[in-house]
Amino acid sequence: MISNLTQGIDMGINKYVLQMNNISKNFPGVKALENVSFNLFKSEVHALVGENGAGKSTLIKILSGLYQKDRGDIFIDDAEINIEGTRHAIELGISTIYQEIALVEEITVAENIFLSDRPKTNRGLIDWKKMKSRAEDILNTFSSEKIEPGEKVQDLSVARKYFVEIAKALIHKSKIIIMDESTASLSEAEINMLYDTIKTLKNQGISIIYISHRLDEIFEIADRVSVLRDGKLIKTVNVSETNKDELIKYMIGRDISEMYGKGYKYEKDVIFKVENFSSEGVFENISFELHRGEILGFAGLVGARRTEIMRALFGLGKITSGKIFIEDKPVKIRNPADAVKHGIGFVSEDRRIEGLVTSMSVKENLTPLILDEISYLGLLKKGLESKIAQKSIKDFSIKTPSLNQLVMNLSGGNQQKVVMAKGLTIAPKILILDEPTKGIDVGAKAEIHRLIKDLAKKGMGMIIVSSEMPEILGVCQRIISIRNGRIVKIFNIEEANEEVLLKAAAGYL
Amino acid sequence: MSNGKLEKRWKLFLNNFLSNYSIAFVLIIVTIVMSVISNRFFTISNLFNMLRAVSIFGIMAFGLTFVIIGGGLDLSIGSIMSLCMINVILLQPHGVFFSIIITIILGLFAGMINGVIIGKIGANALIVTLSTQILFQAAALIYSGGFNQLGDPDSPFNIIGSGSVIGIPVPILILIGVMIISQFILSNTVFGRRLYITGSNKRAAYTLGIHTSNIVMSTYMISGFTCAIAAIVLSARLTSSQPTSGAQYLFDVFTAVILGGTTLAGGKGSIFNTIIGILLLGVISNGMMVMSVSFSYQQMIKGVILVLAVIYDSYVRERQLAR
Repeated sequence: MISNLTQGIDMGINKYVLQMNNISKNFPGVKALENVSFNLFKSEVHALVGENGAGKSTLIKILSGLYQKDRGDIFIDDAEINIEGTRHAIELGISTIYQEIALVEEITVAENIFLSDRPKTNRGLIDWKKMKSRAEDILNTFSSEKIEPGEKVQDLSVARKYFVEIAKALIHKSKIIIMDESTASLSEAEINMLYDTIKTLKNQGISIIYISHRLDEIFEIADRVSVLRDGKLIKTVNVSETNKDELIKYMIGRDISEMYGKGYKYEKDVIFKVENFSSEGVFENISFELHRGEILGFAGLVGARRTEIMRALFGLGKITSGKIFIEDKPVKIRNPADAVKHGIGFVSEDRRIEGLVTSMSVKENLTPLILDEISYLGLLKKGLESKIAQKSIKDFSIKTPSLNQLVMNLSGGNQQKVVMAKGLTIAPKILILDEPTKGIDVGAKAEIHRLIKDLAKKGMGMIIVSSEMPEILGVCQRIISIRNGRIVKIFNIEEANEEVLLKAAAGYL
Repeated sequence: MSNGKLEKRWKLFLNNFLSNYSIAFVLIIVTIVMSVISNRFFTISNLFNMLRAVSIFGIMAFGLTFVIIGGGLDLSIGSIMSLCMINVILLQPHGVFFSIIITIILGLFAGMINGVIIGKIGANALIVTLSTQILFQAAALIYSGGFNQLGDPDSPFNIIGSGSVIGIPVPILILIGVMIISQFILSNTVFGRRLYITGSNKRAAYTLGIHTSNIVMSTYMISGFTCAIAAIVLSARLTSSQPTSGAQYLFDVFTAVILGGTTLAGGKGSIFNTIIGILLLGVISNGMMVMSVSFSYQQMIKGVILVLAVIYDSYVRERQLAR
């Protein structure tokens, strides 16, 4: 398959569509990029990998016009250009599809595709007919999936939304499409659809910069791969001439012999019990027990409503029936304040919207759950707060120049560490982690897994929702498979493997 | 290496300094310009004049700062002030202390009405306070029977408006007192911290177990409280009250807060910002008065200043987004 895909690339004949030479970019206190050179052939899929904070985002933001480079040259089709802004980048034929899909949910597919320049009639009015048919044409050129141009975007699945984004890029006659973590929220089936689409785009002569944390994907679809580390380009290689272990070594600068360890034994006593937990139309009859020191995984496909169950356990969302017991005592959780009071910690899947206040400092993001403990009669003990924050930063090795750095200036991995560190300030009995390593690089991932195991060893009950099978199988002792808001089966780790979990998730069990 | 680090630190410091203190610079420059233009401007007596003039809207601006940091908006401040002014004068016969206490309770209560509807029920702040603006104004008119109310010119109550302690006029002392307390609440209390979190990201705040509705409601009560204080000071200064005199302050209060750099998006802002905004507006108004600029032109210039402040506010936010 790999050879099939790389066939189109012939280094001798093919021309560069994009050359970025010796690009440097500094932010206050950080060298985000240092002399990075990156190039792209016509019809090439060039993967860009590296740990969070390695400089991938900065590089593509320069390319998409969000940032200005400090030094270096950019050539498109051998002409030197200076990308002045996002609009200019699009005019130059560079489209970027970010991890967070940027469509207007309330309007139709066709309107989204023609958001900036709509087809007009002679009288200057919007030509709805033409818009619809052109949208349909463009969608058909790369996707076998039927998407109605008249459908509202909010009614589409994540994968279909992604296709609308691609269509948007094609309308602008893009030569280069940047895909940032495109599969992070897609299911297996949807990922395969995306692969097919990428192949079609390649055949049409479009070049793709593909950013991903899932290394398997790179071997599936990319021609070449460039590895960034600490703002420097470490290596650019043909995918056929490398392997996963080598890439990981380049990415983290060291060998990791074991990405996932073996599970530990948990204790007999139940610290958290859920009985017949239901929310009408969302999930039904969720019952399970969590033991002291146990790591319990929730597996399933995207859309299986695992997140909804976790949110409800934390007091976010309506419950129609069910009971919750903490250490055998029945408790009522009506809102997050109740949950926190009963010792439940929650790390939300969407750290930027729910987990963090990015416009506030690292310190202020670490302590909000314990404000009552670090104050006297409502007055903050600021010295104590700084001490606690300093300790969290050290314990979690959060990379930040100071306590007062704004969280928005941290890399994704470090932001996630802040979210986790904050959740642990209340010394919870139960910690719920929803996709704790989503969009996080290999190194930070291993660190977070180690942390989860350490916490379990200390007697905390952990619940982990993850769409990554290796993660679930690597850290959990029992796994609950969820499908359509119901428990399919509870597996012990000994009887679980990727195959049975997939079968359970897909309803073949 | 250490040299490069030092340079970077310096750059970072300069960047922060400029984004935080650019309005303070403007204030210094405007003050210098005014002093050059008019030799009557830079005198102690004129300084007190200026501060006394800003004290009324300044007190309310501190209250509004809380509301705006919390992501809200309060258009009813002028009307709450009018209502409180009528109340404090009409209750004078029952005792100065009594009238002041009841007026403060009235201000808090009016703010609570806004706060409950906006914070607890979740209605839109603009529409709610626009409605209560009319409601409280009407209440003031009904309460007063539509007439100006005169106080007792010999009452000790008037000290609040016209007296002075160690040579400093009482309204200025009250302004400084409200400023210090506000600053303390914002930066040193749990409430202050929760307010910033709520204003920055309400969903995150809720997930953090913060009772956001209570926080939001409190900000409107604080705003109502400062309206009552401003009403007491102004009534004591004029020894009378008009049922509509609060309305003219609405504009100045908003201009001062926004001029200071407290962004309308919520989550950002400080008392320092607001004090700079108050002083800048005060210096400009006072300067125009000293130079005998006609009232209509004064209004026009203030309007232009507010528009410029709003433009600057959006510019700063855009730049932060681009970062």
